Amino acid sequence: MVELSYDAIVVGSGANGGWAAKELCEAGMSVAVLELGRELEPATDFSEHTLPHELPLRGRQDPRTEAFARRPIGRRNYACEETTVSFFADEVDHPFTFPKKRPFWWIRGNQVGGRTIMWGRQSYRMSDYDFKAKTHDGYGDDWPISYADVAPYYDKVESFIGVSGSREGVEVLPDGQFLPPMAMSCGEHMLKDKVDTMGRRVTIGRAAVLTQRHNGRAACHYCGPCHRGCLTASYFSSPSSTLPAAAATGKLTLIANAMVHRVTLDAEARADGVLYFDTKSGQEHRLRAPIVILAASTLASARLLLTSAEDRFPNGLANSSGLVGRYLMDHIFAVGADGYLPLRKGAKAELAKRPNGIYIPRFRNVRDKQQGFVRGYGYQGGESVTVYEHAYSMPGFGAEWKERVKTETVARLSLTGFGEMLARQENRCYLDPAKKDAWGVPVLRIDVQHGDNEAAMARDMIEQAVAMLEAAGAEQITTRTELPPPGFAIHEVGTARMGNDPKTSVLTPFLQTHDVKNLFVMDGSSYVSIGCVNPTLTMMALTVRACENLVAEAKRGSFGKAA
Amino acid sequence: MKDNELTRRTAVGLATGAALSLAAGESWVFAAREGDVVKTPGDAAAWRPVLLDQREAEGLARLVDALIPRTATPGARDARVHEYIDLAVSLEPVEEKKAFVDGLRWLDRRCQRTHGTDLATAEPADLVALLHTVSDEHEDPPKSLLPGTRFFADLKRRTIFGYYTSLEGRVQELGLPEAVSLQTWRGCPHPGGQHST
Repeated sequence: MVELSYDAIVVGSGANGGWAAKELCEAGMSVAVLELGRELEPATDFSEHTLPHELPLRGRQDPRTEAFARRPIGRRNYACEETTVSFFADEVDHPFTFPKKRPFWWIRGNQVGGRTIMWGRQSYRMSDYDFKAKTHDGYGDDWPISYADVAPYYDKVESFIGVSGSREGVEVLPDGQFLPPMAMSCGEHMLKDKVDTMGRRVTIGRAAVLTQRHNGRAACHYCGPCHRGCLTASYFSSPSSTLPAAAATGKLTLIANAMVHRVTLDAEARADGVLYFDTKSGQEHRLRAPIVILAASTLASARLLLTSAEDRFPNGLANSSGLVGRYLMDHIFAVGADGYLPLRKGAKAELAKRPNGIYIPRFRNVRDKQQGFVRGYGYQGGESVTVYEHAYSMPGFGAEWKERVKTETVARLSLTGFGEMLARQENRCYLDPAKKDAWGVPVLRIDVQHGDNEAAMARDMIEQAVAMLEAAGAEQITTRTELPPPGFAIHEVGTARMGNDPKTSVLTPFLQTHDVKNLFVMDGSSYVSIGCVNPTLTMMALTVRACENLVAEAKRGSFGKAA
Repeated sequence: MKDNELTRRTAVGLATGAALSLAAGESWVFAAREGDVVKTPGDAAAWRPVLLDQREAEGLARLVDALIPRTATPGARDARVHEYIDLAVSLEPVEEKKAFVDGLRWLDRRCQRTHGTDLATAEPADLVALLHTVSDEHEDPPKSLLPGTRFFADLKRRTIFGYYTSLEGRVQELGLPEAVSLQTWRGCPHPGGQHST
């Protein structure tokens, strides 16, 4: 067994692993980042400029491939298609389970960069309506930190990765350090003109996509399918942004194809390294470091804490509270409404494809108090002008019909809710006693379900989407009413919640485990409540904040070997 | 160094796009595509269906061409939409595959009963007439035609997708560029608020 030593080990190379590596390397630490997946080669793995006719199935999924068959859940995601299927985790080698009647769709990205390769890029700040939600409405728990604690780190993250957006002065959606916003289309302005008079706000999405050259990365050229990768690095991913910054220090060692299965402890019950399998050779290796950071994703980090159980931590590492794996959340989404704008019939679609939509910040339970549910939701959506897709609903066929397809375009306006799922202890993951992965490591069993609050909120999402589309003048409005299983929003958070009391939380506000002082979890695990905005920006800000504290502690010698 | 251990050099290489665009200007990635003429691989004459037999495949080719015929621009057969459909259907679940083949055979039998010839050899005008009997122009078609109307809907959906994602459909019919090119998103051009087309 090969053993190597570093100042710090980071498990995971996605949004948070990349930031942890950058911050620690830039502080002078030697850092090993271990990534379960492979290293991507943009020249061959990215396909955003491949046109439909260049692919046998025009970009759709190819069931002939083994890759497709091995991803029964990942392939449900829109981004999993003919050329991107390998970006999604292999569910045969890396399975998980759930109760038959309570499915959970865990969608993972196992490669260097993790899910930042094909993420949605929407980047919003939480507010004290989220961090102090219990104070506002009495449900659940407040976070042990407030917006003011995180704000400087939001600034830092946004300034580095580049987030385009519009400053709106909306209390529930704090403004940030934005690059110039993308423009809204005519139909979106038509919606905004009406909805803003309803005491709500329509703004352009805040997206980690560059609208101008930024930190050595090129501006977006609006080719469209960001989920296929970006050869010009115009959206944020860790391999295009934070990992190169970490590497530039000369302090980074990045180890791909490394499946970490245990955090090891020394005689004093301090973390002293990790054990991992090289997934190519099957050989087990050990790395040592006085600081171990789990940034493997909300569920994978929880699993690693649980698989690291030993005599001193029989229920899982850092799990004296019994809360590792509990309070798992994901946004409720996908429900909403769509309608057509008659005034935009015949509009011509732009050749450029904007990788962004509009956003309507939360307006429920802010000044008002809804009877049916607590917390709130925002909408994402936008106008899409058809190029040929209206042909599907044009009766007839033949030469005349073909000619009409060219001119009778339609503009569809869509609103999709993203709502807060309440934190409930019974929603959890744990090790399945009956199933192991390809390396003999127990897998997660995920047992989560929506409750009455989510159902009531979803109904309101649909009703209000219809009301706003009607206000905008949309016609032929249809609704999307079925909530997909939890997990499908790919916003899972909350398996190692932060708090000040070790009895009721797993992590400190600086993402340090209460039980093992030199062990950190820097990803979505720490969330106390999920809020209703996309979580990655907040995760990254929390990681940067935690790293700043970690470096200060390391310099004081808190973790043994000095950095 | 182990095989899977990356160094600073290779980690930087992960940002290949950014690194190259810095070195050679932001348009490097598009330069390679300018002037590209991407052709559907393979020779149309040498094509062999994977799902249907040759006679059925010829019938399918004639049907898609009736749906989207050659005009001043190529039709669906020119764009080899039938080849795409044959492949795509062959890869679908058994029940969908069966529904498509059953529908095609139902229409073939009706063609023989009505026009005395199969889909592969019917006169173009007869094919058009046959399709009109099962097309989506009828709001309440007789139940006896249900297999045909279902097949028409399925075939039309597949033909639209196959044609308008083909090189011929995208470029020659819709006038879209034949390669990705540098674009700027413009957004609403009506500063006065008179939003329309």
